[in-house]
Order: sequence, then structure tokens, then C-alpha cells
Amino acid sequence: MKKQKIRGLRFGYVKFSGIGGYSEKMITELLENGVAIRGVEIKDGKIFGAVSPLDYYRTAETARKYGVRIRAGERGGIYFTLSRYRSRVGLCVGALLFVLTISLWQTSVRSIMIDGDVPRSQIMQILNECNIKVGASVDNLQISKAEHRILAEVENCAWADVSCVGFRVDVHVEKGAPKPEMEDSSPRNIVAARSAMIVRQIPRVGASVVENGSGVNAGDLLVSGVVPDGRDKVLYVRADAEIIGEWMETREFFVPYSETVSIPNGERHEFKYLVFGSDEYPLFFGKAGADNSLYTEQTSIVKLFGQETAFKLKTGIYTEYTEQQIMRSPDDAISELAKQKQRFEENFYPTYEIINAEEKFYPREDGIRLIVDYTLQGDIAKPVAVARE
Amino acid sequence: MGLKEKLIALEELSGRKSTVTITTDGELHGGAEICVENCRCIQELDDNFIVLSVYGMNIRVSGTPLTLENFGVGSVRITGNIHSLDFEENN
Repeated sequence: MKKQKIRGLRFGYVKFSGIGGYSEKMITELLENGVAIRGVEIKDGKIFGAVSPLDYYRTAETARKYGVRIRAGERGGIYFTLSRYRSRVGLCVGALLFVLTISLWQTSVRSIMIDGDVPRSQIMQILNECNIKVGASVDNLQISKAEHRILAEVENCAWADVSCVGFRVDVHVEKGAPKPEMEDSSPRNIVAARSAMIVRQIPRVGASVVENGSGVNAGDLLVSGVVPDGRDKVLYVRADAEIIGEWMETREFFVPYSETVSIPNGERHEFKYLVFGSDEYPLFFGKAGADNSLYTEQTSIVKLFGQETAFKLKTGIYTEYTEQQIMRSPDDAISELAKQKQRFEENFYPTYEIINAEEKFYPREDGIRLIVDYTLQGDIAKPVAVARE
Repeated sequence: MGLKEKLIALEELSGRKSTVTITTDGELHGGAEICVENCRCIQELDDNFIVLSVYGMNIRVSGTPLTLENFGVGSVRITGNIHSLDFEENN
């Protein structure tokens, strides 16, 4: 039989040759019994072929039945490769332990992956209450209950899928389109949010009850949502207006000549993680973190032979704070006061117009105090629901 | 009767039709492949010819060298330099 590739015999093959008898009947019976036969040839009255090692015994029996004297020849494949190691107890035990470990792993949940723009803590709590947690037995997972609870309890949840593949639980949650904002149509008044002098007003809906230049206290009615309809009756409307008032505020700032500040320029602790998809694998032992430190992180794509891979390298950097004594001259203190004032205005007066800011500096032994009298203008309209009797 | 035998019996009951598929590069002699599905038995097997029995017909394939193998239940594939292919009615 010429050397040729034996196809379709997964566990290996045994080539055989036979002589005499009724070889066609033998092959027919083997075909009827579903024995996979490959490369059957007749040459000089001899029959050649190959069968799986698992079918060779049946082939030999069938050959004997039809008077074909059969002889096994070349053999190969995984069946015979593994047979060579059957006396190696260590290998057998190792393979058995490997299969056992994999099987045991498959019996309990090892990781939970959550996909979707949803609050992770809420999902984890629901899963936990449905016995879906790391270490839980795969047989006792209440997957349907978890899906129903996620659908019912997660806000605006449109679709939820919880599935257990091997030892991993995948949770996929999709949220629906957010509801459009509906404008409230209930009647309301506009009152003053603070004490101020009315500078100008733009009433859109409702009846204005104040005049420009008049002073109002916080809570005073500015635009009424109850308007006469001209027929001795009143209409309730949803008052809307822009009422610009002017008022004064005094703020105080202080900068000392000497100060102790914490600056993140101490020892750096770096912790690297290998990131694949949403999984992170720490490349260090122990726990990441450092006391009294500033945390920053950098992420870079891992390249292999100049080509970008699906892996990323994340570096978490903890820089420890150190305390430092700062000494300031009067000019430095004034400059720092100007910065403080600017930061305050950016944070607290972004919606107001600063008409005037009168600054008064008061030098002291330990620093400089700055008092600023602000004259501000802004919208003081505050909507309040109309109390209907 | 085992599962395999039952499947074979079912196959025989359901499929009384045999299909012969010939795959060639242009001529049989240059190397071809003949697939016969629902083959009942192999009637003759010799150095230069193979006779297959299908329902109502014998298929005689002659050539050299001929190689036979099976795929699925009751299906055989014959490859080699095929000289001729004859179909004979049988009873």
C-alpha cells in the first residue's frame, strides 16, 4: 500500500493487509456496521486499507468471518502516542488532576463580568441576593430571578441577560431611551430669591407687581400667576419672568505670611496592570495603594514587533504628600489674595455680573486681610407654586 | 438492536434512492472522485474494478489504481484513475 495521508480517523489508524477469502463481503459488512475505512485497494489479490484502532478488533473478526487472513501493519495517531505513556503514572495522575481541577472550577463561579451603562453596585447586590456570587455553586444560580429583578429594579432598564459560561457569569444590561422632559404646566408665582433693588425686568407670563428701582425682600412677590381675565374672574397661569436685581455683598480673604502646605512631591509608588477588554491583571504582589498620597494613572497600548495589540498597560501612581513651610513677602501675600479673590468669583459668582468690587487691605502681624465690597447684579426670580384654595 | 443498527435500518427505509456524484478535472482518466450515497453492498472488489450495488442498479467502476473509503453510513468514495463507469440494471 502506498504512503498516503489517512483522513478522518481522529484517534489514529491501523493499516492492514489481507489475503484470500471474500474481501468484498468483508468490506460490505464493515460499511454496514459503520466502521470508517480508508484507502481500500486491491493489489495482486491482496487487500489493503486502514481503520481506526478502536475498530480494528471488529475488522479482524469480520475478516475471519469471511476467510480473509488479515495482518496489521503501520499504526499511528494520538491513540498510539498516548499508549506509549500509559505506564507513566505521574503523567496519568497529572493529566487526571488537570481535568479534575478544570472540572471543579466549572462547578463554581470564579468571576462576574458586568457589561452596560448601569450602576455596578446595584447589579452586584441583586446578583448576590440571587445567589450569584464568586464561589457559589453553578447549579444553584437563580439566573431567571436575577434577570427579572434587574429588569424591575434598575431604572429605565430595557433588556437584561445573565448567563453562566463555564465558571464565568456574564451580565449584559441595556437601558432604554431616556424619557423626554415634560414641562410642568401647573400655575406658579415668581418671588424674590434675595433682597435686592429691581434694575430691570422681562415678564413673559403673568402680571408684574414691582417697578424698576423699587426694593424687595427675599420672598416678596414679583410676578403673579393669578391674572384677571377682564370678566370679573381670574386665571391661573404659570408665571415666567427674568427679574434682574442689584445687591451688595462683603467678602473677606486672608493670606498668612507663613504657612504649612501639603505638596504631592514625595515618594512615588507605581503599580502596573495588564488590561484586556474590561479585565485587569495586576503585575505585582500585594495590595496597591499608599497613605496620604495623590493618585494618578497612565495607560499605554502594548506593542509587539511594532504592531499594536489588544492589551494595554495601566500604571497607577501614588505620590506621597510632603509638608512644606512657605514664607511669603507682603507682595507675595497680595498676589495670593488676588488669586484667592479670582478663584472665589469664578466659583461663586459665575452667573452674576460684578458691577463694582471695592477692595480694602488690612495688614496684620501674621498676614494680610482683604475685604471686598461687591455690587452684584443677577436674576433673582424664584418660581413658587400657587396655593389654590 | 443497537442505536447504530437502528440508524442504519432507518437510513435504508427512508432512502431508497442512491446518488452518484462524480468530481473530475475534465476527464475521468486524469484522476476523479466518485461518491455513491446509499450503497447497498460491494459486489466485487478486484485489482482493476469495483462493483457497487445500489437500489435497482450495479455500478461498475474500472480503473487503476482504485482506492475505496467510506463516509457516513452507506456512502462510499472511490478515487483513482478511472477508465470507465458502467451502470447495469439488477433485479
